[in-house]
Amino acid sequence: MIEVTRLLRWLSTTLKGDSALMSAAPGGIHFGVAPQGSVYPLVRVLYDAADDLLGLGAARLWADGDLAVVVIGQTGSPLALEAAADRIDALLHGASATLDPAMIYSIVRVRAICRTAPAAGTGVIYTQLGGTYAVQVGAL
Amino acid sequence: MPYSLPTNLFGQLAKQLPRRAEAMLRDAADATVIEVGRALTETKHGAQYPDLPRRSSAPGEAPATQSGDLEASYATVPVDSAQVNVESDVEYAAELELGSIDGTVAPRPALAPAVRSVGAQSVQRALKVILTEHGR
Repeated sequence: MIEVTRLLRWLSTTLKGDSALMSAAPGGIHFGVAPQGSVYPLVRVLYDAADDLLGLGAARLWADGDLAVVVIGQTGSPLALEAAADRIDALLHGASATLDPAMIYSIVRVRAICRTAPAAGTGVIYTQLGGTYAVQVGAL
Repeated sequence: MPYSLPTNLFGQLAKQLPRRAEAMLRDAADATVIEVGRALTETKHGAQYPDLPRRSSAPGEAPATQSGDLEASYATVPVDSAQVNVESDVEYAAELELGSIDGTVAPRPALAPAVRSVGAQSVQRALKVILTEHGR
């Protein structure tokens, strides 16, 4: 079973279902990259797989991974994105969920992200605010 | 009559560990630079642009070596006995490693996977050194 797609589906439902987050980040939720011409602020989710934890033989206990979830805004001020980033953290940090046939055992933030820089080419200043979350997801 | 028996179970270990740890840290940093170079030059699966000599990387892969500037730019910079930075002074290194700041270009990480991989090996090697040299 591929756990990652179950995790991403849960993330999409959870983040899109939060009205406070959607009003703070009207550009929506984007997995991987945001398309050119997106509305900002938006939420960008990146998943980076780590090692599976195996038990005896082929028994897979869970898959470890990192989720980088940030709100991105056309601003040089992280404070302008604070409300959206707070909502993301409230929804994810410490969460667990049963997603038959998978289960999210744990999501915890392991690193905060706060990055401000001009976009290459245009020079427009953007800020990313959020965090990297360590995720353990496995079969139910 | 008062009596004391000096114990110095960890004396040799305590003297040697900082020196060995610093040497292993520098080795790990050097190995990270080598690992980054390997990741940059391995086969890529992105687009082949007509003005670039090699196929570009797909999202999630390490960047492809094109001019060689990025590969040559990574260097170790000792901070103190407990920290060595691996740095690149190329302007676009952060943009490749972390993705574009506006979220429209996916990351092509080379350094973070190398640090993870070399770091895990280095910790295992350090533990082995401690156990084999001082565990008797």
